[in-house]
Amino acid sequence: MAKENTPRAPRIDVGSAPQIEMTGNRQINIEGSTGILLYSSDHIKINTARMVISFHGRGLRLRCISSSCVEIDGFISDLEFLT
Amino acid sequence: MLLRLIRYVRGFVEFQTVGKSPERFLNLCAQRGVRLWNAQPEQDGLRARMLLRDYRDIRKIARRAGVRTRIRQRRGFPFVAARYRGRIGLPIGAAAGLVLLLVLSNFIWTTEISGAQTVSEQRLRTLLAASSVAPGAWRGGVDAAKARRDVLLQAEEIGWMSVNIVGCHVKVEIKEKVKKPAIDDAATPCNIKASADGVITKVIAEKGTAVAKKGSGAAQGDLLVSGVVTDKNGTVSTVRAKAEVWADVLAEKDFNIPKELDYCSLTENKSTRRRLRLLRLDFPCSLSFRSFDNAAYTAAEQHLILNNTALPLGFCTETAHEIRKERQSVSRDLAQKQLSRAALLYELFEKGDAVPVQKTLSIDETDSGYACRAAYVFNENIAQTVDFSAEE
Repeated sequence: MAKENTPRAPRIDVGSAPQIEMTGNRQINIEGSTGILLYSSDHIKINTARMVISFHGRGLRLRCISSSCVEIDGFISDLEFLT
Repeated sequence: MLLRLIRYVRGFVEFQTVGKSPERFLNLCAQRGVRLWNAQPEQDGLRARMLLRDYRDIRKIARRAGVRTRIRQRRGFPFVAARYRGRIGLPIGAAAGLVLLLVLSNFIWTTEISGAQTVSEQRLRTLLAASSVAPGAWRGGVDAAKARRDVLLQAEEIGWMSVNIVGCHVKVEIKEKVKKPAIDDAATPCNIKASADGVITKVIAEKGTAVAKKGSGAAQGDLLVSGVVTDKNGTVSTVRAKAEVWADVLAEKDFNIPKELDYCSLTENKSTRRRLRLLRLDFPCSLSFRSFDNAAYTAAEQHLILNNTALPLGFCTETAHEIRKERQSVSRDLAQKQLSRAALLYELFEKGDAVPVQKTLSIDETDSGYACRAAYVFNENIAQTVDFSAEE
């Protein structure tokens, strides 16, 4: 039986990466947050294990916050990953 | 919705933080497992909501984050309860209301009948009430299957029936039996015979052979129009005879009118009683001690109607109207008038289509009253359909 030479996708460790769920540009749910770095109505920065996620927009607010989950709603105009 | 209800029951506060680092306050809250929601940034801090129980424990967190907190709004059941703490009547009333609700929900409140077209709804309600299915009956004591069987046995015109108890509401659905169609006897041959003695004035024979002729006399049972027909070729066949045979018929009617009559009339005196009716219980709402020897009673019920359903709660008003009895002697003239009226009613309701040709009214005075007699000559249709018998 011939040995299989099928190429395999490179393995990426996503175990500690945050999970981001977006509903349009109105609502964002982030799992894996480790804290809030900046909180204002037009700019929110969320710290995660690997990066800092920055949101710009209007009327931003935290709908719900727990130890590892943050839910944000408002009008999001810009999303940035700072590593 | 459920989350909002839980938060309302547990109570929550809307508070404002003032300080340099609201982010640190949020992070510390999240680390300690303190849930907060609807956090809105403000100029010097933020505004958020938190459960009442959690708010009592955030003093240390606020001190550590360097912010000061201030309550802006208090919402939820604990605050409402605290407002009415001194009023003992309210919880007692609420408990009594709850008990009343629980007790009353064990009774039948309304009965709805659907599908009754020719069967009287009132009769159905009476039959159902005999089987304890009526407003005010204890729900646990109602046997819907037995009630259904009993009603089906007594009301033969109902073909199918269902009795469903939904909460305090009884829904009765019925389907009436389809009546057998009348047997078409147009093909069955028959004769026309005389239903009474008389002198024939007109014969209209649509089918059959006319035997009777205008001007001839006919005794009851005589053949007037025969169902046996012979055509031009001499072929004999039978048909269902159809004819109108009009004849002058003698008739007499006797009436007896007494010499004294009792007349009843309503006076202006009346007595009204009003009662509050709840399910099967009556509570008097008015006092009335007047009573009459002779009275006519009227009753009117007013029910509370909710969502097009009459509830077994309302007022029942009973009124007794006094009746005065007067005895009046009847003169011969009055007897004559009464006889005329009685004869007219006899013509209208007993003789139907017959036309009175001649009428003689006579009155004889006796010891007990007046013996009256109305002698008539009616012109009426005496044709009577009689099927062929084996003898014929």
